[in-house]
Amino acid sequence: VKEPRTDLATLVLAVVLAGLARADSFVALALAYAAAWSIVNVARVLGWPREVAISWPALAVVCAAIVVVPLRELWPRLPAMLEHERVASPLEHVADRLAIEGDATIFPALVSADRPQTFFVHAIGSRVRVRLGGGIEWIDAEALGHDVFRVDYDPRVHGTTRGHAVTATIEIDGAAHERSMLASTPLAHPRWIRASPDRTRACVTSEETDEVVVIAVGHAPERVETLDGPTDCAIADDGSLWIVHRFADALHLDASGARTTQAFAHGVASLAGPIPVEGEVTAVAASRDGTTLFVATRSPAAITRFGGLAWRRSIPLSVPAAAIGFDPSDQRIGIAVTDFSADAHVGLGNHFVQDRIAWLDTATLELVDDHLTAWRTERQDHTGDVDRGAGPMGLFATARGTVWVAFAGTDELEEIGGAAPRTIDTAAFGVSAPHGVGELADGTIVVTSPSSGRIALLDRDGHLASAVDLAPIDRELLSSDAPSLQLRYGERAFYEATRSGVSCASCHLHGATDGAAHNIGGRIAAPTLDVRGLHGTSPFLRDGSYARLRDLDEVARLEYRGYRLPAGDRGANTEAWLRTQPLPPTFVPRDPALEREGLDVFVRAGCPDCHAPPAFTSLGLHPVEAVFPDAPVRTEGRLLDVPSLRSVAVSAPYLFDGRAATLEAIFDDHNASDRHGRTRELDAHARAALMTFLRSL
Amino acid sequence: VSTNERRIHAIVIAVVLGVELALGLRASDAHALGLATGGAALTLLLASLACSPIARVTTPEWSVALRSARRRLGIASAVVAAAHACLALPSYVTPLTLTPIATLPWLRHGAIALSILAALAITSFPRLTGVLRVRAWSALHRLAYVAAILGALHALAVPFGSVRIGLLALAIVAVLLAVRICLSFVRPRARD
Repeated sequence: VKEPRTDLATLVLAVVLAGLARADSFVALALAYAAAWSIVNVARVLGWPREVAISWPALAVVCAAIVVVPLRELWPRLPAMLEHERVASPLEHVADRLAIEGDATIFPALVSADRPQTFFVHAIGSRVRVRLGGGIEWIDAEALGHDVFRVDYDPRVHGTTRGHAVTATIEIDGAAHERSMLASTPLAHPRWIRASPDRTRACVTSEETDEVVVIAVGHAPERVETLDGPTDCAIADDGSLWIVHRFADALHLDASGARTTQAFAHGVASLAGPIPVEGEVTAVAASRDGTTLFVATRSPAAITRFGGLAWRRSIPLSVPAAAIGFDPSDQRIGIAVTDFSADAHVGLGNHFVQDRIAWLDTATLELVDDHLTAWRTERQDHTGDVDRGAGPMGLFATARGTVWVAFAGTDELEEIGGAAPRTIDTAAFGVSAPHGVGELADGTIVVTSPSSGRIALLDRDGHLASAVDLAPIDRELLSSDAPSLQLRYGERAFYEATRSGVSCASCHLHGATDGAAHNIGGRIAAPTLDVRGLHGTSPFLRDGSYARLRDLDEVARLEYRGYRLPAGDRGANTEAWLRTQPLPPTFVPRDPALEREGLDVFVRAGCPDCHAPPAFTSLGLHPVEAVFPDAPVRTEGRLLDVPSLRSVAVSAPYLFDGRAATLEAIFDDHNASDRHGRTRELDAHARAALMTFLRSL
Repeated sequence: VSTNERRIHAIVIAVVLGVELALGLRASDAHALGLATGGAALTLLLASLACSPIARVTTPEWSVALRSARRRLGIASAVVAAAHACLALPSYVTPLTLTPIATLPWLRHGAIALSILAALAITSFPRLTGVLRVRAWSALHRLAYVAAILGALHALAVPFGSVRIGLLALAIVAVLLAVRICLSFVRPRARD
């Protein structure tokens, strides 16, 4: 070799230095190379040998011998380095696409043991049946045509499976195809606390484990098994229970119950007969005399009063209320919201988030007071940061004339309305992200934590007196079921407020949409998406800019000032929890014949080109102007991640900019170009069939 | 500047403008300007890298022009990348806290790529390399490929950026790198 290769020398030396330094990032590799280059450059300046008596093969052997040890040091670090540098993240998108493309595919790839689910299968065959893992019976799939099949799974009928992953079997005309799926068996989640009028009793529901806990003064807490999906409850002075179930339009009384005056469930509320309530119920509260009931609904966001001076009165809200509480006089109700405006304009501009308790007059439902809850303490060292009063989830009026507020975002209880604010740090006694709060006649403060599975009973001074653990505590899970502990951490991170006072739950209340539009860094504000049922749908956000859910943690760190306290990998934990959240139920009555017609219309209109079964999305990125050339907002150069149509019946508003309030409006008012499905020529019956099919998803 | 060099510059400018149109040059906000300058910097860098392999297979006249254009395009890439950083970084970091660069991979990749391009630009001026006593400049200039890969990863991962442009850039870098490695085993053509 006549001319020594400085680049080869630099490379070999860089590998040696990187190995010695145990480089674990691209920065470390770059620094190793820079150091090697400096050394080689200095060597050349000082008189690099002009000739080296060695042949090329011999030089190659020498170089290989030099780098073999450093490379052995670096090689095992490569996966962690690629993870650290997030080089492998797009692979998740590719994996998700592969899982839903081709034949014998099923969506969603999540089996939840706590509720009925509907799966769609894409299979070429005439007879299809599915087994969603060991311990679950075979389920015959319903053929809808065009190689699409529907599978209705009810864990109470077909059985459940344990563990965090299952292998599902799709049998098509006798041929079996195995598919890997996530499995979820949620732990107990005690949420809302409802006290009897005399405050001697309180009840707490755990929807995930189908139980109600009754707490009575002077008695040990009692766990009561219920029907499927208890979402809320009420309790009378004599201990009679009214329990609302998500999956049944019925009122269920316990053995002692002989009277029925109040009932509320999804879509139904009654004082003396059924009254339809539009939208999913997010919170309820009854006056102490039992004559007035307030119901908060999600989409459209509204608060409705039943009883009282007028039989029914309703006002729209900007965003859904997370909680309702009467003030001690029953003259006002407080609603916990992230925004409130008199005209209830739902912001399709950039939406402002400010946690508050809006106090409304119970007679007129007009705003009488607006109490901003978020505030900062001396712990914060940046202007504008907050670390208190974020994420109000529970309200409770005390007999003393004050109101307890449970803050899920900042792990605290605050008593407002008294001579001086009083705050209790709930994380100190294992109650993270508290949702429910109440106070009994003997002064016992009751607080619940869904993500800890704990109901804590505090004395008058706010000290822990006792606790009811409906699920294993964190320490037990660490040794027995670490994945479930990660789900807990993820759920807490979802509700945890950043230092800007905003959490995931601020806009995605309990994982659903708030119906408003936000701009978290894109060029336009986009309607909030429902984040339930996300597993297997990478990429994420409207423009598909995030291949992995965990990477969205950087939005919290960059756009929302990070978190108050250090914790583990919030991104990975939140991702793990979100993956186990099943699609929201739609409660749409079935009409199989019309649905088959609707699927036929769906296919003829070209919808599967983008919304391909079984996920009803291709997970592809499309130029907005190609699909919506007549969109009223600027779309040049923008890409759109095709959303899944599963549970589309409850995901209004529609389209990427939220301009369609209903499914019908998508095609009637916003498809003049006929490019978002060829629907212009459809007659009324075909349109009705298409709507029926879409709602059945 | 020869006629051929002018033609090369015209072609590169046309490609850059094409990328700009794809990225939405018509938008006037700072976000769009950040995207536009980033796309331009990456395009110029890829054009600079493409000069070498093309120069090996073309006529001597074009070869000379390409080798000359390579340097100019590389320097232009570094300058535009610096402008891109000035425009885009204020959205993410302040003079008081550079934490996001350390914690966010795509910001970090962009920062490393910019550092490499700056070093390459500085060592592209013979008088300056003489003053700095830079002898092993070729070993440094190999890092242009690393900068291009990091730039492509940066474009691919940056939120609200163009995934397609990032993927396309990554594919082009892979092809150029493969060609470069293959050509390194082929004896260079004797210069005129």
